[in-house]
Amino acid sequence: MSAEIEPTATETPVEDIALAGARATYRGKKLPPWVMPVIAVVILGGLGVLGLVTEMGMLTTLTSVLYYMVIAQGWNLLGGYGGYLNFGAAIFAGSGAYAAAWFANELGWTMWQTFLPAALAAVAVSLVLGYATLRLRSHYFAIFTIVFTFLAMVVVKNTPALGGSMGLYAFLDTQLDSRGLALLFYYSLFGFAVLATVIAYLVDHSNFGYALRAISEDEPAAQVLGVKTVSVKLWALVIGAALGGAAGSVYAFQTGYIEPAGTFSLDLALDIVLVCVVGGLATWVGPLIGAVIVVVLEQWLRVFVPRLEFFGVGVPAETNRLVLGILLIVFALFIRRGIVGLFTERRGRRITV
Amino acid sequence: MTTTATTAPELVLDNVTAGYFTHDIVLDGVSMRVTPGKVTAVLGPNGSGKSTSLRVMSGFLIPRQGRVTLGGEDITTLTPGERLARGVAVLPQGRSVFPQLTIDENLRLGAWQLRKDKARLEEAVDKMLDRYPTLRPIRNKPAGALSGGQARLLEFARTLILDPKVLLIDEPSVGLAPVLVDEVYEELARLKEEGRTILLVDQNVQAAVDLADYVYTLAYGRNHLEGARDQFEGELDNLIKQWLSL
Repeated sequence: MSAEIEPTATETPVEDIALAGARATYRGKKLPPWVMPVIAVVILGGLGVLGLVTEMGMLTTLTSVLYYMVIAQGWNLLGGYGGYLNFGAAIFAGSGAYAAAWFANELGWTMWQTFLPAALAAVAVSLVLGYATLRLRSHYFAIFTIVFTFLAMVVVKNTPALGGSMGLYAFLDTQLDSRGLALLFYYSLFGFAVLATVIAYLVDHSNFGYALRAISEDEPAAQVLGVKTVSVKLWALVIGAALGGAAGSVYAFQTGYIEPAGTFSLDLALDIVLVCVVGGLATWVGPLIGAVIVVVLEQWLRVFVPRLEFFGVGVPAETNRLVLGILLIVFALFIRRGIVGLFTERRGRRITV
Repeated sequence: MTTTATTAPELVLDNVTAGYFTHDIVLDGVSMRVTPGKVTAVLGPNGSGKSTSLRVMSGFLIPRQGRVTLGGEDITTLTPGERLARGVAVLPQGRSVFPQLTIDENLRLGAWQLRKDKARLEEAVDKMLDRYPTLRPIRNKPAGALSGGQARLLEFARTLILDPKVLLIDEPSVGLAPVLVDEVYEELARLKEEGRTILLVDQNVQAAVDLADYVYTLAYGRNHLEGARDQFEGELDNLIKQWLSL
């Protein structure tokens, strides 16, 4: 409660003329406006072409890149623009995956048909989460999303219709060979990544986008101006959840088998935060750059680390999580506005560790 | 700038009891009237409930007892956004510009309720840039780049952009350098000349009384004194001494 009723100005900024002068020389690194769109087109265009020409191993890695991109673009709306850093990404992807698997098993729906129900399932879950928690301020919300992830896992584990702890299978009835199947998943996610990026771009350039930024900077001040902050935050959460849910449905068919612990995993939630922090919070290009870097690094570490020996002792495979954790700390401390932030002025919110 | 003085409704706080915690009462049966077209000042020592009265008027705190009415309509439980839609705007205490948004975007947020009406929104923004011409050439700069005085002007512009009927202004000069305090009071005098309806909460007693038409003082969360400005002018020294010994 106390967070709600704190007076809006807890510290009194003391202005003086000397300070005002320093502030007026606000350092501005401004790139021409076409640079970010070009980067986005190069990344997405590159991925679009690469799918057709790479071998299977690389295709799997790139599929993960796209999967992370979609979820991260969705997460970035509330987590980045709104400044509500949270660990809830797995809840929505998981809800979508389970909805897709359930519809495939019970009603025999194909993957295409499950996209909409998967997105809607994630939206339904996000409405419950949002109504329950979006009146909370930042870090309380972050903690609650962790609790909610475990809650979702426990509920699914104890629901026989969702396979309980045994999980669910999700098969595609198709004549495609393994490469054709891989390409089907790849281009489905590619489509969602393009859609998610377009949505992020539109949000970035709209009223809705600067209302979210205002919430991230000073929520009570935004309320004073008549911005309905709870509903703006709820919309950001819902749009993000729909994208996560849709990506989750592809994930369910791609892996063919989902179970509660792996689906509602905090590892995924942390990776999504890392993607946005590395790429640049509250930027529409950030998640694209971040997803490429984080996934490729993660896959490389997964292959590289087990081969390492340290004074004759094998290095445990979990080391890759350690490296990613260190990466998160380095960015949070020194490169707070991510890679995109290195090249642009303003925008984005500082995160604190 | 058109004035809404003649049509402005009266904002009334009627016997309001309010507080932040169950065991703690900050306002105890406070009543006051914000008269249309006049400047009403609320004075009092620290902790007397000045800012809390303003929070009750603006909808950030719902009173436990008593009513808030606007032109006779009961608005006691309306949200700040709903009150803004009825013409009650707030200029909050301390810095409230969004430093990473541009001046233009800050203004647009002030006109959030017009967001679906593009033409009116553009017109409103333009009107404010006419009113504060120093902001126009730098409208696409981040508000974080503004000096203290310019930032305060932007806050005024953002509050005035919807042409509110009643303005609630909370401690406008707190934490500002003396030169800037004068600028703020010049701006307040201009608003008064325009015949706007203003409720002013301030610790700067002399300046507030100079500007006010009617003055309320609070002590320990209760109404203390009230009256037209002339009744207070000679009494200020006594009043302040009294507060210091409270």
